[in-house]
Amino acid sequence: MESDHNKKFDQQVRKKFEGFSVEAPSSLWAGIEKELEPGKANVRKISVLKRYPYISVAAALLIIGFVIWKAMPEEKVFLQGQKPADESAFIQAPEVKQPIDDAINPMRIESKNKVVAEASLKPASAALVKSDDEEHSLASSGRVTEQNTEGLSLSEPHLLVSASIDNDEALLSKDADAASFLVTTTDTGNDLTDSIDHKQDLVEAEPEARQKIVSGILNFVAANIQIGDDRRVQFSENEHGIIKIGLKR
Amino acid sequence: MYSDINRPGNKMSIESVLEGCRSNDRKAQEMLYRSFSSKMMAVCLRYANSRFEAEDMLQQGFIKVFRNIEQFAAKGSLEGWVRRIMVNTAIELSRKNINFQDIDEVKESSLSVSQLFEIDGLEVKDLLKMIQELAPGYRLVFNMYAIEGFSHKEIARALNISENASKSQLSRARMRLQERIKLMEGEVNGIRS
Repeated sequence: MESDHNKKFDQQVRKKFEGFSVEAPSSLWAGIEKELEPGKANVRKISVLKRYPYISVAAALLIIGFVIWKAMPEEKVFLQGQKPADESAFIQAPEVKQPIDDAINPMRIESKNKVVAEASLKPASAALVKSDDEEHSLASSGRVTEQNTEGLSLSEPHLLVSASIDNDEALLSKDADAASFLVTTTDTGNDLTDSIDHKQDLVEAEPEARQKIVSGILNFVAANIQIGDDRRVQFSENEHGIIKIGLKR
Repeated sequence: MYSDINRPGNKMSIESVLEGCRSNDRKAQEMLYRSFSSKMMAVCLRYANSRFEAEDMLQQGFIKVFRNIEQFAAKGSLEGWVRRIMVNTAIELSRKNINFQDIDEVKESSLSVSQLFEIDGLEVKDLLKMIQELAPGYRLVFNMYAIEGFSHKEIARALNISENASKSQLSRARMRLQERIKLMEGEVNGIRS
């Protein structure tokens, strides 16, 4: 129970402040007026909109991550346990993506390779030929390559492409190494079938791991993006390998 | 220059000022501000530890007043309504600066003053200074209980503390204030003699 002395003391203090007033600075009204301006509400809306760039950055990162994720399997399957890839290996990469039926039949691969080689080699050879040898034009380079690939086996386009790009022996030997590796991987028979099966297993086994890597990278970037009110963008992946975006306090 | 809307004979009545404030009329808003700013500044100064902090409270309080003017029921006192908003704003801003985790609960009786304490001779400005110099927790609870008339239950709920903690803060605040008042009176008497 409150003592009478305490009550009396509180009463005296309350009485002291009755009618007490202190002049507020005249500049204070200007600040209030500024806050009340209709434009201020717009500014607040804009400040809310300022959050969108962060979300759009996060969305852009998500898209980039998705693209990387989609791009990764081809390289991983192709380079698994093999030598590092060089230009020839990248050019040749689409060849390994052939269905099993195509891979088993070397003739069919060869026919498709010609199309792939024509399409993919033209820009690369054009750029490099231009720098190495001014006499060769884009069209002639493409044509030569096309002509040469017609009568060659699966491994030969790599050597041919390298030769047309640069005559340097060292580079040629590197390309030859890569080409020989490609020959090994695209060999017909049981080895090829086993190899492709193994690659398919890898493709099936890796998405979750890839998701974790991608979401980890995105979370690292998102950790530095503060949305406001201590909220942060967070990426997470579910058991189906789908990356979710959310806000975390 | 704007005059007090509460003054008799003022051309602009409270109703017309309220109507103007509802339609976001800047003149009416300024009239309302000029009418209550001095009294509300005194309220804010009790909760703040500096004039700067009090001005911030006053500004935020008036912005709330103007943004919520539609909610004012014309039946009650406008000054009372503005004051409630101001007190709530001051409490809200004060509690952000206080860590109530470290509050130790003591029995109020152990801190109760045994003698009657007179402060009639004390200047209100000196008393205000003493209140401002209290620890933030003491100051907030003392203002809420002794001056605004909140119960310990209401304070406990508003500040998310126990009722005993509220009582403890209040008792310590009173003790500190009375010590300061005694000290000041002793100094004054010493100068006189």
